[in-house]
Amino acid sequence: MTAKKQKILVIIRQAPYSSVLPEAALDIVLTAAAFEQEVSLLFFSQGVLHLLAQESTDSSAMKNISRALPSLELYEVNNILLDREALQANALQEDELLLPAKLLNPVEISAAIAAADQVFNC
Amino acid sequence: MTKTLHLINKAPQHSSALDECLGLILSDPQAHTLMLIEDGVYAALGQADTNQHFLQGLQQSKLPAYVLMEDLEARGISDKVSGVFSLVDYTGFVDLTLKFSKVQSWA
Amino acid sequence: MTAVIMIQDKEVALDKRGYLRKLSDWSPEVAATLAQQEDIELTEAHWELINLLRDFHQRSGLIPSTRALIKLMTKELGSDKGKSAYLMQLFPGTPLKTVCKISGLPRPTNCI
Repeated sequence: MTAKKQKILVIIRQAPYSSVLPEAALDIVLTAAAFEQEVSLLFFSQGVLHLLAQESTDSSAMKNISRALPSLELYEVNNILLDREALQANALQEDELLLPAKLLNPVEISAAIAAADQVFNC
Repeated sequence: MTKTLHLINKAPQHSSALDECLGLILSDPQAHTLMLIEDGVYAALGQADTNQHFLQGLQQSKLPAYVLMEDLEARGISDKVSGVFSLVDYTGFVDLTLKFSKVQSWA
Repeated sequence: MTAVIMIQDKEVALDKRGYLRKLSDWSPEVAATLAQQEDIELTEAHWELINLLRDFHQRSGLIPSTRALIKLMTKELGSDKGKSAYLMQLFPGTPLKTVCKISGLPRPTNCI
């Protein structure tokens, strides 16, 4: 592919097990990364809850994406963004998260959305 | 400057999409415009208690806000719309999407 | 269409491409049989990679892309093994598909 790399921003807004959207979002991330695009992943609103390690997933019929997140670096997806206000609203500490992420305030989130060529708002 | 049209298609009682969207865009009304479609139009009900905080926020920010007339009519609420919204029909909606460099759907 | 192979008196169902229908059917004996069908005799080097891949899949739920697998190999097995040539040499042809099949993983769909 000779076309210029696209800046792709995937936004996950839903909590774990709430719908299939987070799983679909992860598929988009991995596919875009396979095509060597510049992928960023933003956990916004209740989406930040994916950053907590799930203790057990066996009892749910739905897949959860949390366990895949620490492996994203193998796919060259290194730009992980996080909604700072949602983190505070859910009383989460940075050091209990599954992987290091950049914490953004609303203005920075708006800027990240504006800077992307394609946004998948899931 | 990138101008973005934000589309909301879920009722505020069923989805946090409108809340999340407004949280990001109200502070920058020059760069963003809101458009309600499908069940999203219920957020435009001017007298509904649950909508008051959206409506106040919109009014104070002066963020341009539109609502799709056909979807209001289909739900029998076209005469109950808050004054902060401008009504557009499908043709107007299409014209609107062409004016923006980006259209952002909030699923 | 499903094929069934007999391994140690146990029926193991394969899909039309030769991948396990049920991932829980996997055992080292199953791997050896599947490898035979690909004309591969499993050595210690093969097992090292199979174990790495199975562990990765169990941990993450993901099937790696070829590039992700090579990065994983670099990270876990060292940079002299983290090379596509090394992978090719062990599992010739379409290495990712072959190693996934033998390791009892689903067929990779994002085979880039």
